[in-house]
Amino acid sequence: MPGSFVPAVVSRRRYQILGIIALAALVGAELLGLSASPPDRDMGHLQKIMYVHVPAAWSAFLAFFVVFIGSVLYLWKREERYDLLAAAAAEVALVLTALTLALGSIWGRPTWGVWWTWDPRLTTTAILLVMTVGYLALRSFVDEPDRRARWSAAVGILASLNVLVVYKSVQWWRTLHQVQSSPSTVDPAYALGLRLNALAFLLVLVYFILLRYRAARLERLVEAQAEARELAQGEELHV
Amino acid sequence: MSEWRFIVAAYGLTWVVLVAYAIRLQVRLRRLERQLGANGNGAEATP
Repeated sequence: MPGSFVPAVVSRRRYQILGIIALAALVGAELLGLSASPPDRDMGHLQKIMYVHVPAAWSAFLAFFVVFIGSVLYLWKREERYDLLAAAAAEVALVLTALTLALGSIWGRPTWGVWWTWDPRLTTTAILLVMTVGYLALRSFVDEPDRRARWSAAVGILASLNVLVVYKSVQWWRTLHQVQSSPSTVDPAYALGLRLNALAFLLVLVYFILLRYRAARLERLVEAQAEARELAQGEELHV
Repeated sequence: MSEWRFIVAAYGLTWVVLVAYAIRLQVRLRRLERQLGANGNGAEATP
């Protein structure tokens, strides 16, 4: 089994501690966002959805960045750990992208009057979601590890590059969705809540990727054991 | 007041998704560790 970044240094107990810290950070940041921010002039209290929608989107983007790095490194160095890291990050990215879309839909209904519209930001994000589903489907269809890793690295890079299109879509095609929110563009009354929630989501992201990466490594071990057993059975039959 | 329905839905959905995924990952890990332990690879399964 090739080298790994994580299991040598991160024990199960450390995972649990990180999970508890992430959970506590999320509870604290959300409570602060819900209680301390004043209603927005136009959106009223609906503005509070920003504290979960925007950090979810940023975390998804970061997860895709990990997919990109893992995929490029795999194609360059051909080490399995990079492929497993990309796959772990892709699954987390899928969860966060789906959550981002659902939260945007909940926010869109009272502010735009519709649950869904083919706005460029929404459409490009939906395309990103479909590409990620495709990436994970590809991994489950191809059995041979090296071929699976090469093909999924190519799709992973393509999907990750689509994040740039998603990010810039609100500037390239200015339609319904507002331009990017960040602590520097929102009202100072909302900046702290946004920063803290972004930090909490970052911790959740790290926790998820570490956990999923560990599961991916163990899955490969199980797969390798099954292959070895099949080989041994084949040899026995041959003899 | 009706706007709070959407806020509660958004925060509720966030928690449901994140907690459900965390539980799913934990269950998957435990299953894999058990599987590897049963195959005599316990040392690798619990570093």
